[in-house]
Amino acid sequence: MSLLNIFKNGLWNEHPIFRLLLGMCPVLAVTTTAENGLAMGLATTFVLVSSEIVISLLRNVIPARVRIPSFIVVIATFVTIVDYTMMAFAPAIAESLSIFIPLIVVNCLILGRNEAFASRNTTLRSIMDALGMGVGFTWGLVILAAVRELLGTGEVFGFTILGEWFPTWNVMVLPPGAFISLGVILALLNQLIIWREQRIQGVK
Amino acid sequence: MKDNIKMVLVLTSIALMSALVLTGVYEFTAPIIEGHAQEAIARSISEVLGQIEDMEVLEIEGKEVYKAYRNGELVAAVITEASGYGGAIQVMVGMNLEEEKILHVNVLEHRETPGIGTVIEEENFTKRFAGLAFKDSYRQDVDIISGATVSTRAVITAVERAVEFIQKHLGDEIQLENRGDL
Amino acid sequence: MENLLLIFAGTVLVNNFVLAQFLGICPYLGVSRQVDTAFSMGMAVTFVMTMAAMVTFFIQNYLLIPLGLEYLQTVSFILVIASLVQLVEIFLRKVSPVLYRALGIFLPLITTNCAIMGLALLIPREGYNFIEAIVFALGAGVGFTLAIVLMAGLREQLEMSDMPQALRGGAITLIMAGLMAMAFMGFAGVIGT
Repeated sequence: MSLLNIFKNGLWNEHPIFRLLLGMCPVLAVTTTAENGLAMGLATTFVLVSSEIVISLLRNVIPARVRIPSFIVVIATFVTIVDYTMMAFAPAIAESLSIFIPLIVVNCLILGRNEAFASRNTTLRSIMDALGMGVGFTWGLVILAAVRELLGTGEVFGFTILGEWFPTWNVMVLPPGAFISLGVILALLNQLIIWREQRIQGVK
Repeated sequence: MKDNIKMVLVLTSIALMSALVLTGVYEFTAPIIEGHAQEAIARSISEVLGQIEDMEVLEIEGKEVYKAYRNGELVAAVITEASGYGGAIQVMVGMNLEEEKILHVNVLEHRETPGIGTVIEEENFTKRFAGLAFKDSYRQDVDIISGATVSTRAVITAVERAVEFIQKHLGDEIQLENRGDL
Repeated sequence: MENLLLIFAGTVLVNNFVLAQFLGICPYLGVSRQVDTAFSMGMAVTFVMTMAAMVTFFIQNYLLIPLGLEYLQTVSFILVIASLVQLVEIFLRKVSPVLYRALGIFLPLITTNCAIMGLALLIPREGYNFIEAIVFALGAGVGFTLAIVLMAGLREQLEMSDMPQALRGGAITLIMAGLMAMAFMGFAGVIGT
């Protein structure tokens, strides 16, 4: 696979949220506002890229039997760096994401990519993989968060989009709204895929 | 055997590197984080007490009490909490000790339902406490916001606790000062 | 005692780990096809949660805080949880093969289950003492089991029904979870102050 294809892979074909259903806890928990979604996406991308760089560099040094604990320590280190950096320089966002920043450490996406990709590939390829997955994860979070913020408060990124006339659906920013909006988005995307496949088969 | 040694060596050195890096990150960010916390408290104190001078921080029963003077009158602020809908609600209450009145109430931390319980943050709710006397019954004088009964009642409880705490611990101080004036 | 009951009931119903706090979503979506496997998963999570709550409580209060190393919390908690899961696995295999057969396959999944790590991180933030921490862990585990078993019951019924293809799998599970979360919000009024 070429470098570009590795990058593009995470954007749609193996999209972590919509195709693989990975890392669902932060996806549902922090997507109350588009800003939170974006911050979470960027934080996860940083951890993903840095850990894949380190793991791919160390891939021939780490013995197979201590692979998982080594990965966990590396990931947890970068997570703590993000945690403290955000608390210092973006305290408001750090507070609204609260425990979901340290919980990046158990995001199955990160351990999964390190285990499946970075431990078997060169650093350059791993960076492309991490960037693709990170960007994919981030746009997924932002889309979901924007939908919830728009319907729940009439705003996106804090800017009013829907005017006074719109009766805001408060439930969208509450826990049930997270499940339902992600479920509906998933169903719509599935339907798009089904239609596309039907069209391709029709052409044949 | 050789494998085992390598295993231990690799894991130990990764852990050591990690601890080293994190110590550096912590040393660098800790003062900034501490600064934010201090700033937040300072901002809240000036919100609940207004223009003050000669502020003193007292440690009473593990709580920090901020005592100061406003226009020559003794005022104090303290942080108390009570449990609301989603967990503890932290409230800072500013009081005028000489007139025995509440000056202003500020909701610091809470995890109430967005769009419902969050009304407790709004000026429209917190201003209902301003000017109430210590002996008033807040349960009667402060209207509950319908739909957010639990959250608003928790704030009222926290304010009651603050007034009680300050009366218990700083009540004597006013009498002493008044005597000094005579 | 009343306080402990309140923590327990509050964690099971009001602040349900899965439905209100979004912790443990991966197994909730992944291992909820059949009621009996869901129940076993719930039991395994409850067991590991209670153990993890105890161990991380000691690490936090007798190691990290006295040494001023709170910034190593994330690293040490995740390592401890991972080794704990390994130990439980070895122990169960030796001592109770029956239990191992029932719970064993879920154990590796539990390491990256954010419900366990989330619990460990929440205990110091809530300022619970040792007993409260254990009750909190039990409540979290029971709440998780309740949510996952209910979902498995629904999904067993759903297998028989004729559904649009686009809704199958993740989509309908999430929508049902949303309805369940709405129902659980009703408990908040029951167990208030």
